Amino acid sequence: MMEESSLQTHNIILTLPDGSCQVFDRSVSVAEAVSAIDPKLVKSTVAGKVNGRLVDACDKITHDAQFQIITPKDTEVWKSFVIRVRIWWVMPSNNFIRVREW
Amino acid sequence: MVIGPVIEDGFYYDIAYERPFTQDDLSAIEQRMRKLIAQDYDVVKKMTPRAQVIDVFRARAEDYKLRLIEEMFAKQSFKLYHYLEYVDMCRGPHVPNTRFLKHFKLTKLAGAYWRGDAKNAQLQRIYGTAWTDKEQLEAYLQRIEEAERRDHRKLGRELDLFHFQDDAPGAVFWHPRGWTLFQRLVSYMRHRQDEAGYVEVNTPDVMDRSLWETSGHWTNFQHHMFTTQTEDERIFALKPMNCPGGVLLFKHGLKSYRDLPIRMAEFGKVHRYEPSGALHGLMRVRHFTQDDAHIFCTPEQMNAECIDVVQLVLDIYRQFGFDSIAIKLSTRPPNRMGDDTTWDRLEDALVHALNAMSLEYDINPGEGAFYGPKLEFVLRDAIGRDWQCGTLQVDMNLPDRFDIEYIGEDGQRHRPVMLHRALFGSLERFIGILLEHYAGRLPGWLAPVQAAVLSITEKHSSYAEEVFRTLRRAGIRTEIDIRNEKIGFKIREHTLARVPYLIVVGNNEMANSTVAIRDLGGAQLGSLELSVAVDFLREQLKCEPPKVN
Repeated sequence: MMEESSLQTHNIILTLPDGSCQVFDRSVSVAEAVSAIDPKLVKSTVAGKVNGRLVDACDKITHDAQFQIITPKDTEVWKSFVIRVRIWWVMPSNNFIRVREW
Repeated sequence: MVIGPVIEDGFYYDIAYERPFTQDDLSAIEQRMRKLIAQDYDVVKKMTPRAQVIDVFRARAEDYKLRLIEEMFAKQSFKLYHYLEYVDMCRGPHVPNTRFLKHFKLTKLAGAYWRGDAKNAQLQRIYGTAWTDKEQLEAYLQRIEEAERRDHRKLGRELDLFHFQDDAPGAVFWHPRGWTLFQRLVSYMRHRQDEAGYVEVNTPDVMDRSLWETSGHWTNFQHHMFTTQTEDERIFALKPMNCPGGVLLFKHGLKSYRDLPIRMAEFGKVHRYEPSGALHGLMRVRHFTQDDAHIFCTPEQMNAECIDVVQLVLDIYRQFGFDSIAIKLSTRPPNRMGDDTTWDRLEDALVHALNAMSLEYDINPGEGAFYGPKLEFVLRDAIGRDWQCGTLQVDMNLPDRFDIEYIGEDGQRHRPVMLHRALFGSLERFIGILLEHYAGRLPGWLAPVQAAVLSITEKHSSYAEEVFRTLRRAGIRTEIDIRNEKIGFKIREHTLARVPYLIVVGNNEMANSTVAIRDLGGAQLGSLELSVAVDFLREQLKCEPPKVN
């Protein structure tokens, strides 16, 4: 109960990519934030991007953050999600020995 | 179930199963997936404490999941994703509902090993792809079909360029036609480098272990180097890189600022042990030739050198028919040598070169090597695939490790700047890319066989040989086919080999001293007098690379 009430005293401000802000009086999940920002997008929300990090639609946002709604149309975002590889024979022109980072 | 990451354009999952999957299994699995997805059920994520996660996977007898958990010993809680009665762990995020997953397809099967190590248990890997809508999925499937049609391994057979065999895994047996193509690339690059003020050198293939210790390769890449111990008990390694050899050459004899810049090129064959599962035609081999060059210059000369390299790279790629080239700048990583002022200067030099040429580029922050920033050049091929080929890299490490110096104008010793650059990267791989880009129909100036002279019957053989010799003398790479075969058969065979021009000689041609020319598309270009035909072919084949601005 204590925790609940202490959270309620903090406003959470989400800054959207267009620079506009949405204020919540408590922590909200990505899906809840989307329904407040644009209810039409709720059905097509696959994930959220909070301070540059991809998170699940059910994840809670507990602090002020840069916020972006991710729908299936955001293909660039998914590209960045592909498992990172690192070049591991470092010196030059070695482009093809890549090892997955675990 | 073992592990299933997202990869470019799709995903895979490794599964421990007692036998390899079949195509029938694949379609059965796909059907079952469609059925489940059609239920539009919610995917539920639960942060679960470690002990409970272990219980869950133990109850499901998911041994590999337990091993993964064991490896992440510091992690106290895991994200578990519940798909109806199935549970998996993942760093996420996942879709909240299966309604997002309708447009997918399982694409292929492969063998894999736990942790990618052939000493471990074999796993069955299922590849798949998933897209936002039907159109995107279909476009992708069409793209991979096209890619298969262009597979350089298939083209290598059809054009009779090269082959591989088990006696030398990851090493190319170049056939005469393939080697001709290889040599075309070398002589082309040699010519361009001559014009650009490079010198060409050659350094030893086998060098003492101590050299590789100095360079740092022994510590980092020992297990990927081919080594040999000789009777005098010295350990030698086949070079996995040309750089240390280049540095030793620079170090030989005193260098003054007047000698710089030294642009030292080497077509060096390098040898790197790769697991056999990683090998793939010409694209991934163990033995390959780099068009390497090391540029040693003063800090003041660096900007101009970078500009020249970038110019050369772009110019050459365009000449090979790649118009879409992306440039990536990788900047200082968290763990690095050298101070920030030096990094500022080196990164600035690269940025400056790009800006001076008004080029757009992407930045990969923190992706540079520990010893310096770099530029990567990425080609987009005819079917939209990206290939990273060239690099331009600044190296602060080797000059330090080998303690190389030049005498400056002030009479003092200074450390030169060392730039590594490669344009093709690996010649073997670049040939693979070219073959796929052109679907085997190489432009005339590169085609290993530019024309084939085909006789209709045996009585035309001697005239065919005369034509053949004339074309050869005119510098056209020509082959002759006077086998006792039907002309239709010969035409099919040489068309499959993508020979740009077929020269057919029969009664008419022999009587009138003419030749009938036919192009790869099957168009008859008419009967031409032999000397006219030579001029025509030389013009059409552009025995020189095309001019670009």
